[in-house]
Amino acid sequence: MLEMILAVIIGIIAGTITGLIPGLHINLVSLLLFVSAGFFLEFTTPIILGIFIITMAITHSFLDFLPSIFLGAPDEATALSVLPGHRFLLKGQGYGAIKLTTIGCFLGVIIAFIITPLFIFLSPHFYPYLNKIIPFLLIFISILLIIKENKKIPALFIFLFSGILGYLSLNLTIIKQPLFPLFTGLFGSSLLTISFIQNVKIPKQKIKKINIKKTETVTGILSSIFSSSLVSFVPGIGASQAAAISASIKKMNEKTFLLLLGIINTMVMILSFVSLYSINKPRTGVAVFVGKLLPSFSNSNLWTFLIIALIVAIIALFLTLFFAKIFSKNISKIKYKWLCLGILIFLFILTPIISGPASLLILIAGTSLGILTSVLGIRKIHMMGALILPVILFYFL
Amino acid sequence: MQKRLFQISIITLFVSLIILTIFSLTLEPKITPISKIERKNLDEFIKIKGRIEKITKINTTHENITILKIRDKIYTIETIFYKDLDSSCNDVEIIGKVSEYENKLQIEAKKIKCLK
Repeated sequence: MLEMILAVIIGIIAGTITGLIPGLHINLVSLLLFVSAGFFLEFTTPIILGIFIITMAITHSFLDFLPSIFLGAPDEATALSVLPGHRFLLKGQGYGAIKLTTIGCFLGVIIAFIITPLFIFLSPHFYPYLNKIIPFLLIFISILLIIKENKKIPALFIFLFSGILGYLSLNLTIIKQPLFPLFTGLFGSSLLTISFIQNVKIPKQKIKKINIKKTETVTGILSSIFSSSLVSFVPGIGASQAAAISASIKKMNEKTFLLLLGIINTMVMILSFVSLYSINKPRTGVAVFVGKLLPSFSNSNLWTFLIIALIVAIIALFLTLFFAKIFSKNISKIKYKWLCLGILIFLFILTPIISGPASLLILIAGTSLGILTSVLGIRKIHMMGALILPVILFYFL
Repeated sequence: MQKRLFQISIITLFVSLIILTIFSLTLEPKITPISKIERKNLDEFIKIKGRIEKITKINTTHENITILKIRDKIYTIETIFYKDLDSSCNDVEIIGKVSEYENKLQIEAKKIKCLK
């Protein structure tokens, strides 16, 4: 028991650190842990290591939105929150944006907990069929997203070129962790570059409540249950595609969208453990690692993890809001232009270290595409072609 | 300003995409001897060269999987390929990602070149 509590405490500290570092994806952290698992297993058991991993992953999922919204430096899972989050920040409501994603994350854990029995029952029946329809569903979603856009040709251009960039990045065998430069470029450094050029000034942040209508909350919950459950069955697609699916189903305002991103982020994470148990297929890097640590992942393992996720979610909720207050109080004191430049330099140094020197080209191409999307005045979601198109091609080629 | 930003971005995009295409067509990882594949290579792309010692094909309604046992000198490694493979191949060059299955390292092949 003491070992378990210690694993949770260390997991929360680790998840807080990884969540606050700009651009750092939880899969990368999992990989590093996996490589060093032999060392850790000398001191503890696989289940305790598993508890540490899920605690870190849940805490990371909550805090991950802070660098994304306040610093414009997201990872794959939080990429779509950058623009709506940035708009809130420019209105002095960065804290409100974080509150929405944090409430979303917390709701995601609760919903995942509630739907788990149903998911366990249904997933073995649905899995074989969903795997077959997913490429067609993705094509349908892509068409729907473009049709709904006012500027259809530029949207198609961004979607296709993001897809080409994604395909090249994922197939370039000399690059490690290709999603890091890809998403940093498309959603992070592009926004930072624009903020730097336009000399954006961050107003004093107000720490106040943001009201969201009950109908909007219900919309966010329902569409995220649908999309998160769907992507949890299927390989190669994750939280960001789930958000694209939800956005294509129903047009929603920015508040609902931020709430939805939070729900999806934690739901996809938790349902990946449920998939590991019900269909023996882990769907996130973290679940892959836990599956390897605990090859016979049992029902009691799953429920232990779910209960711990619920407890950690409560702590992570307060922790995220605490850090959001610190960010809010200090962000307007800093010269934002130079903060952007500092983060840009950091990302340009970090990218070749993580992914190799050639990955700088992906970062540059992604940044250009992100800037083009802003200049053309179309939604950032079309850049999800970077993942959607390669998945479609994987099924058909 | 917007026009200038648009022009610079579009030129940078096309130039970097062209270079990336050239890289993806020409650059490959160096050949790694099977004996040198370690856990630290997990999730990395590597290239191996060897002889097919055993070939197992699994064809289900959902997917076609080919599992190859590759030998170079005295060491062997299992390679999983999510496509069908020409059975007449003996010597192959494989580019793939190192992964782990049931506590053993394996390669998830992306490209298999039949040498003879």
